[in-house]
Amino acid sequence: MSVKVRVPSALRKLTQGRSELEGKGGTVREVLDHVGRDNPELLARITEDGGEIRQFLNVFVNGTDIRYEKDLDTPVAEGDEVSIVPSIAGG
Amino acid sequence: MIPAPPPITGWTWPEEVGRAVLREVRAVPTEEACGLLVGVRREDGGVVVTSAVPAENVESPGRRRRRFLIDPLRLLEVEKSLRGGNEEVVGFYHSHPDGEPLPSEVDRTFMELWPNTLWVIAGITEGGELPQIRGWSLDPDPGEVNEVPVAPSESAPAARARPPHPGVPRGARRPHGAWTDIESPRGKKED
Ligand SMILES: [Zn+2]
Repeated sequence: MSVKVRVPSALRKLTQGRSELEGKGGTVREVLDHVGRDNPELLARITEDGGEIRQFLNVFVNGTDIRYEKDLDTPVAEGDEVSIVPSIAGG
Repeated sequence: MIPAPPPITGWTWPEEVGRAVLREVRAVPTEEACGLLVGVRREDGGVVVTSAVPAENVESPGRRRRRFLIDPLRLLEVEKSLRGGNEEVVGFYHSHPDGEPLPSEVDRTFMELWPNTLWVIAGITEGGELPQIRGWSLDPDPGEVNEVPVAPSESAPAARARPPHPGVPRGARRPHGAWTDIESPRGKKED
């Protein structure tokens, strides 16, 4: 299953300059692990050592927050788009 | 392939964009106003803001005076509308209804998630007529927040024409898990 992974252009330093990556897998976890092989810095920003999503990091599949689905076990299908967006907040 | 963004060395925005942001900030004097900055990154690290896209502060109403939160879907929408052009989301802006335009501890926490991104803060100090505006950015190497000076924009590339941004989804839900309390470790002023 081939899935697009998008990162904000501001974070493309972590992805060797690309804001769109090609991932493979049947779940968000598999897709992120796949793109993480070539982009370990990106993966480290997304997940904790234990493999769960970091606190201020949002992951969407076709615009739906995976926290409302099955988190990292959310299934993905061919052509889906996984987007990674750190929280935009402050005081 | 686009090169990774270099540290930001200067920033500028057209007068009308600055005026629009100030208007927006003054329209909600008791809440933090916030939004996205769209523009162009020059090779020399200069950032030329071409437009400011207001965003709803989706923090809970009681907290908006000292906190802001932008729905991450707003960023996805704006980035989508910019695909294929030379502009990108280069930063964010927000206001401090009761303070200086300096990054708070909470701001710094989130700036770490957005290295080499322009953070424009409009601060309203006591007795101040007009909000003061200053730009900041986190240089991830060595992890310092630096002030970004306003730099002239004469060599700014012309922005390509594009359709207007999609509207703000009003009443958008608060992103779950996107915010929990972060209290200032040193008890500093947090606005
Ligand atoms: Zn702030």
